Amino acid sequence: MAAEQINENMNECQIGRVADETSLPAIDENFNTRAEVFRLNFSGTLSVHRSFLQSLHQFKSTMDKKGIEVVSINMSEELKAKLSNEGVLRMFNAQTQVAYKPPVKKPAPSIDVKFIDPFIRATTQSLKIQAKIESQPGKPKLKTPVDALKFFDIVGIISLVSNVFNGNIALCFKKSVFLQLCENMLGEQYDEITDELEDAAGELLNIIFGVAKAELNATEGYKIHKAIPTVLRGDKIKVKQTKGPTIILPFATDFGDFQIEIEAISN
Amino acid sequence: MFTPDTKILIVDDMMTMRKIVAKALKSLEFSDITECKNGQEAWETLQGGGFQLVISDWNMPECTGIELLAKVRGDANLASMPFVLLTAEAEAEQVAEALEKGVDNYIVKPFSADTLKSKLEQAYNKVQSRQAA
Repeated sequence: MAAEQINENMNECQIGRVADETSLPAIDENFNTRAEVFRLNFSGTLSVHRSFLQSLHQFKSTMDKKGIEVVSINMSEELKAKLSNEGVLRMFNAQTQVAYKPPVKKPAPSIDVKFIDPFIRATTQSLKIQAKIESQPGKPKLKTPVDALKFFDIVGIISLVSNVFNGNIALCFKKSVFLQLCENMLGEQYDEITDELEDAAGELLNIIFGVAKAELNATEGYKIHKAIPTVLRGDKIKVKQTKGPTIILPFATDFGDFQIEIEAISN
Repeated sequence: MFTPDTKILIVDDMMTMRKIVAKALKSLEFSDITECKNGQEAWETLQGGGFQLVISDWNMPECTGIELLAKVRGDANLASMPFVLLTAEAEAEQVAEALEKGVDNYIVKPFSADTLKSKLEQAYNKVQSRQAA
């Protein structure tokens, strides 16, 4: 017995006059389909042998592992009554409506990209003016699970709350880049990230946020709220956003790279 | 322009910004610089007298820069004190509020030493005009 592809959402197989252990297609681990529903067409089926029930149980179990729902269609009222009397109708998941209606999927959270350029400009401008550091922006990219393994020594985080999107911004540094930045910004030499220097990461993020916020509020009509940065310091900090897709804005300087990660989900 | 011996009070809850402002002021030859961490501490320090210029952050806990400005303008002894606000947000509503409260100038972060110099010159001129009026 073969499975027929009805559409991209649905497979189907025709059950014979008598449903038995040979009526269902042989499905193994390699069965590959994008379908979300597998229809068993009982049109013309007069009876169901007990051996079919065992096959159906295994078939449904396999499909369940693949996330595919098994439904029975075109089952006669007489057959339904027989199966009901035997107490097994329920396992057939009999559907009266033949037409398949794809389930309505909740749209995946979308990321608002309009603010990327203002944040790139704000970052390069802030570093140039406040720390006399030239930074070259790289190509923005979506954060992948591999990117999430990258670690940093100090991270400033500020929340993004507005009328159109919510999320957060993380400014992520390795120690060597951050210390050089502090040296340029404050005019003192540092060997370690001290408690005092945590403040510098927060202030720099505050400045970048302020510049970008002013531009976005003025030109895009956003109403981004004020926010207070939080700073994390430690060995091998990994940044994990939880709500949705995250964009990484990479920057290169003469002293090394750093990055900004933006998670901003449209409301 | 303010002379190098002008007694200046920097007010900011962030150590980094206090250091940035102090560094920029020193590069402009100013040397008499005092730092405070918030508006309340600044208000108490100002009571000691002798200060000739306040450069204060806007957003601070306990007493914000705009609240400190209102206190200074409301005090008979300090009302004419040149007062410059630092802000990370140059939005029209904020600027309007600062001007209404009597600020002599405001500086938007990030800023260079040259910008600071220019803003202080403008503030100085505004103070001179106010005193001449």
